Amino acid sequence: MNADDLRERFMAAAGVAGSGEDCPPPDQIWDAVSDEQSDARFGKILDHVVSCPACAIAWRLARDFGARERSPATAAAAPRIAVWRRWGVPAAVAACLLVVAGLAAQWWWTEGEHTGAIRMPQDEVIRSLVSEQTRCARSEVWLRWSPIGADTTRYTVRVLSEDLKLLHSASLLERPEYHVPESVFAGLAPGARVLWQVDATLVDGQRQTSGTFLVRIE
Amino acid sequence: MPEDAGQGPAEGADEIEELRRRLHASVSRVCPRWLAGQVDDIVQVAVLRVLDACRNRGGIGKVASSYLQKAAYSAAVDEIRRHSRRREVSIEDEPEMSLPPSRITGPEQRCSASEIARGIRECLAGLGVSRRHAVTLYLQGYTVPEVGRALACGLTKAEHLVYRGLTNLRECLATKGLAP
Repeated sequence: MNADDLRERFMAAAGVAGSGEDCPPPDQIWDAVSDEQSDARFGKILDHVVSCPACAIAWRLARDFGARERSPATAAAAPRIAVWRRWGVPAAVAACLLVVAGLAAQWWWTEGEHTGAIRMPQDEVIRSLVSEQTRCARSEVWLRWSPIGADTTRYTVRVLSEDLKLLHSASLLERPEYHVPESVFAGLAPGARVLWQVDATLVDGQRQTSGTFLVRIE
Repeated sequence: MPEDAGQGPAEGADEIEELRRRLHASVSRVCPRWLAGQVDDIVQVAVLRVLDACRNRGGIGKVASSYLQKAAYSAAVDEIRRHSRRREVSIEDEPEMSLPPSRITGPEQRCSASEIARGIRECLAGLGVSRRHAVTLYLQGYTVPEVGRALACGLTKAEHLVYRGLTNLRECLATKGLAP
């Protein structure tokens, strides 16, 4: 079952059992979708959404109605201050332990390189399978690359303009190919060159980033 | 009550009609198809709520459009909950609200889909908090960058949480015999 299937099944929610008296008021769901709830409250409502199909619909409806999305600044700043006040000393201790652990990991990794015990698939390199000489029709821009690792590897593709402005990205791709939506190229002149790059995440969490490739747009 | 509306400071019939038109357009745009029959009821409730608010804010013109959206949303959610409690409808058409047409057709597939949906919810509940939140948002239609913003955790962390969470979810579904 791929990610899209899971998404569809989750959203299908046939039967709508579970809508009950403990559902949060609509205002609270709206505020959770926007950035007007504390992180604790946000998590509580999101957990309720897991078990309540009607509230899952309400959550999606809030987005459709245009509830302002949580912004990185407001979502991150407040809890960080609160957490530091509460956990200041333990956090400092943890930071020291992290430094020690980091040094140990570096030593361990270096040893691994000598013995060959731990290996990122360095010999596997992501290569572009798209000719940089050919011009692609805007509706037919397929990015393809050589797969690495097992079938469980997931890929992220980033598409950038020549001045390195991010035009588009797609994550959790299961296949080593991606069809770039035509709308991505709307602002580009005919003959424009577009850069693209792939990140591979292996099942154990290791990551590998490709070089930057080129594709020409008609 | 609608007739009370005229007692407010500035709510003329034209203004109320304009308000109703705006709310109707907003609700119709996002309402799931299975709620289409209730759009007028939802709009009516929303109009009353907005007019109530107008009394405290000095007229319809003083009410922010974001408040209108929120009022329409609240009325729609109330209606959804009424429906789900009465179980008058099956919302198998619900994916049409925000997704491409569902591939789930026929009673047997619907039954199986219901079982899988339940399994997904049970398995999600068993995930660790961070992965559960990340995967829930992802399944709710968020992109990975949106998940990162919502959880204030950065893109790389979000990718990791979603990816590992989906893997755990599949494994859990497989133990329930729900893998295809």
